Amino acid sequence: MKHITVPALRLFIICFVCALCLGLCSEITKAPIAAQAKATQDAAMQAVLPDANFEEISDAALSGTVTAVTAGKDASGNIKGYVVSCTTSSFGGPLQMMVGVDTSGTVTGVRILSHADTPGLGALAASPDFYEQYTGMSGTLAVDKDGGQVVAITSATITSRAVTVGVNDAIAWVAANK
Amino acid sequence: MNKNLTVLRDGILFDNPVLIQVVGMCATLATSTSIINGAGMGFSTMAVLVGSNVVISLLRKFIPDTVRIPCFIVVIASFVTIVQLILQAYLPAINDALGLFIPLIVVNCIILARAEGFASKNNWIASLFDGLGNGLGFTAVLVIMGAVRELLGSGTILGMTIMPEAFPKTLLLIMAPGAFFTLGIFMAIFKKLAKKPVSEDEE
Repeated sequence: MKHITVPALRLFIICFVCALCLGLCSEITKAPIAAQAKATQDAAMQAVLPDANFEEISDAALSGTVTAVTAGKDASGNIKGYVVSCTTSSFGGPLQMMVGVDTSGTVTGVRILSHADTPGLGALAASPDFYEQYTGMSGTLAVDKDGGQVVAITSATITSRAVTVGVNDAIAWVAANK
Repeated sequence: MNKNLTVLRDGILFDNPVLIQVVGMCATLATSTSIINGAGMGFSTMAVLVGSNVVISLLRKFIPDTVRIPCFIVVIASFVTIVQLILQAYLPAINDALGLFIPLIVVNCIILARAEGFASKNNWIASLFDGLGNGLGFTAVLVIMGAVRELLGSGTILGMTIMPEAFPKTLLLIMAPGAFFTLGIFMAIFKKLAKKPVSEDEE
């Protein structure tokens, strides 16, 4: 009997101590982690819509690939633009992005938050060389291969289209809801 | 040579985790696409490896032989999770750079292989050196593989373009098949060059 109970008991003790440490650690780090996540989110929003105070629109009418919308207000409380979060379908799976659009429908910035595309090809969408070109664009966009003004990434047209779809949906959302 | 230094050297060279022991293949193939990725994965693995080796070595008399693997896994997984939580909470810059790799460390069998093969049989100081040696050996291979794949695959080193525009980038090298090619060539060269001194083979 002893050759079963002793190992079982010791394994239990090790698991118990580990669980205790994990629980403790999780409790201690919960608040700082939430604060960090918020800071990251705010930094991304500041990057796509500069100099604004953000207020999430919880009852936004979501359409297309739009998953969330945050209003950006200036110092006196007037809405100057929106940060639209989109999830589009790209080559390697979902591509999450944030698009800043001002009230006139002009793109103020784009950031790729996450993607699962090929390194060296589609993954280049997350580099400023690609996403910065959207800043200042408006209307309905298309990649150059489809006759539009967006310079697609070489050998990654699907990824370039996925980003463009998100930007278009963001512009359309602002046009329909401002 | 001092025993601990021998352990350290063997981890880097003659018992290199990737090229000789052939463990941690998943992480090696996936993260050696560039120098930065390789170094990130290498150093985060080393930190966890040193920690888990020391803890397992200290617990080696307490852990019953029959249930040692579950014990190792519980200790390693807890270690990784705590490291991840602390990085997320207090060191966001490091977390941004390495965050992606940390959950991958749990499934990296270098850690389990060293716990089973070394730390559970040796004292904590030797285990610490073993962790350092294997960690450095792992990091070195990842960084060199990353450099080769990054240079030939994207024409850059550390993200800076150094190859002329006309250089034909071999995209295959930064994709999965390129990882196998590079690793295979590395192993072949290493086996040819690195021969452990015969007299030490008895240990």
